[in-house]
Amino acid sequence: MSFLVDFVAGHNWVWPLCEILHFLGLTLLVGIVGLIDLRLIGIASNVPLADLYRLVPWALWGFLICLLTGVIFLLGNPVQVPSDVLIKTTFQLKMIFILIGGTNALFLLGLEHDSIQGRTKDDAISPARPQKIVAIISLFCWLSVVYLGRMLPYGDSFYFVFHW
Amino acid sequence: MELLIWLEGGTVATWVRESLSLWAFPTLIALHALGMAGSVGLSMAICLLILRSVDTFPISRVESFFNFIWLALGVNFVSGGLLLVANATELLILPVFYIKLFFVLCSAWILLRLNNIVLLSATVAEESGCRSRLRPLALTLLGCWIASVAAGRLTAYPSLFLG
Repeated sequence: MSFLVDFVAGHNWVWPLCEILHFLGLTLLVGIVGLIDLRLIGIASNVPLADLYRLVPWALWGFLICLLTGVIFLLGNPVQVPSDVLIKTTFQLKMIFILIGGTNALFLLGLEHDSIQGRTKDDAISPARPQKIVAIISLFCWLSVVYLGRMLPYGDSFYFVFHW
Repeated sequence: MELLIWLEGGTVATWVRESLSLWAFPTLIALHALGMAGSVGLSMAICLLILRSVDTFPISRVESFFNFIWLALGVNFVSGGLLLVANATELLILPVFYIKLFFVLCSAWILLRLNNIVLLSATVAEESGCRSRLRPLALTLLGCWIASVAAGRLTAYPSLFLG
């Protein structure tokens, strides 16, 4: 991966561009998933779920943009080796929340497919409690991903949680 | 410049900038990111909904989501304000910071217009009339948010502009 490190180090626009794309990807992903989760929790309960689920492919594009730029951050960083990032608790927690949130997104994809095929219940009916719980967990996971991602540069300074 | 130094010298600004606590700069920057995910993310989702929805989609029903967007924008405003006063001498000399502010204000104005149109489209007949006004606004809002996110990120790289 030294070619990637050399490329990033040799072009001062690469890292900022990747950060911009990473932020845009996450707003797309978190925005669409957040909208669907809010709907599943019961906000704007008269909005047809089928129409919201049609946005899921856009959320997937957001995820792919984040994944690609995230790999560049991990493998192409000229000042930090990947192992230094991988051992951070903050990074590991972020990956765990992405895994849980991603699993939930697959669940939503299944719901989208069923909805478009017309096999779900009437959209006007409030989602069942399990769906509401999944939506709350999903919202928490993706907001945690944003929070932990932003905390990455500050390392595992959990000591400072108690320091004012 | 003296005004900027005065801004940075306040108790809160000093605490935000110099404290080693996670609750200072790191938390504010994280709140700013969360606010961005909420305001920009939900806005973009609604814009895509407007642009891609069929003519029978009940636009008026998305009104409740705007409350969350305004809440997230409020978080951005407060966190952004505190981050600004803590780093006034660095940020207020950057042209890209003013570009970001410009696009954020444009986005907020378009969002307000979208919110008002959605509120007004209470019947199906009104919705079809509103739809023609909503789509150009949604497209413009998407562009403004993309520009503000890009400009906001670039404020972290003053060397790109100042040499």
